Amino acid sequence: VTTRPLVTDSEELMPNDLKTEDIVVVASGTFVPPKPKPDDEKDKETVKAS
Amino acid sequence: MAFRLANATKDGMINAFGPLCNSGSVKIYGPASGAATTQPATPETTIVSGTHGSLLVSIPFATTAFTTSSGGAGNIGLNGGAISATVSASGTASWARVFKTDGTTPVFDVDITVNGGGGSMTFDNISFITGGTATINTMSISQPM
Repeated sequence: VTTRPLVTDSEELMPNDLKTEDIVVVASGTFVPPKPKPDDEKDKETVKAS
Repeated sequence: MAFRLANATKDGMINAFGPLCNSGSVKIYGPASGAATTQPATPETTIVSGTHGSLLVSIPFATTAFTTSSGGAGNIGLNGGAISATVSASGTASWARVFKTDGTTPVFDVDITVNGGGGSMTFDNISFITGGTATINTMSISQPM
C-alpha cells in the first residue's frame, strides 16, 4: 500500500496560490502604409508639357 | 492543494512549442472593407473568406523562430528580433493563424486589435493597405505558472 503524503511543504497551505494558467501569447506590431506615388511631380510635368 | 509546474517542466513545455513555428509563418486575415469578420472557432477550422476574411499578409518566421526558455522562465520570444512582410491585400487585420513550415498545418490562432484593444496580437494600425509593411516587433509565448 502506497500512502500519498498529506502535506509536502508549508507553502502549499498559502491561501493566495495562483492556479496554473494556459499558455499565453502576446504580440505587438506596426503597420507602415505604402509611400504615395509621386503624382504631384507627374502633374507638374504635365503642366510644363502643355 | 495547488498545482504547480516545476521549472524544468515549464521550460520543457514552452520549448516544445517554439520549434513548431520554425520556418513557419504568421498569416493575418481580415475583411476587405469594414465588413464583419469572425475568428474561426478553432485553429483546425477551414478558413472561409466570406466568414473569416481574406489573407492580408503572410509574415515568415526565422528558421529558428523562437528563443529557448531556461531557468524556469517559461517564456520564449522571437529569435532574431522583428519579422515583417509586404501586405498583399487591403483589409482590416482581425486575427492571425500561425502555420508550421508546410504553410498548411496550424499551430495556433490569435485575435488582433489595435493597440490597447485587448487582442493577443496588437498593431498600431490595423487598416492594412496593399504594398504597406506589416511588422511583428515582439511575440512572447509563456507558461505563467
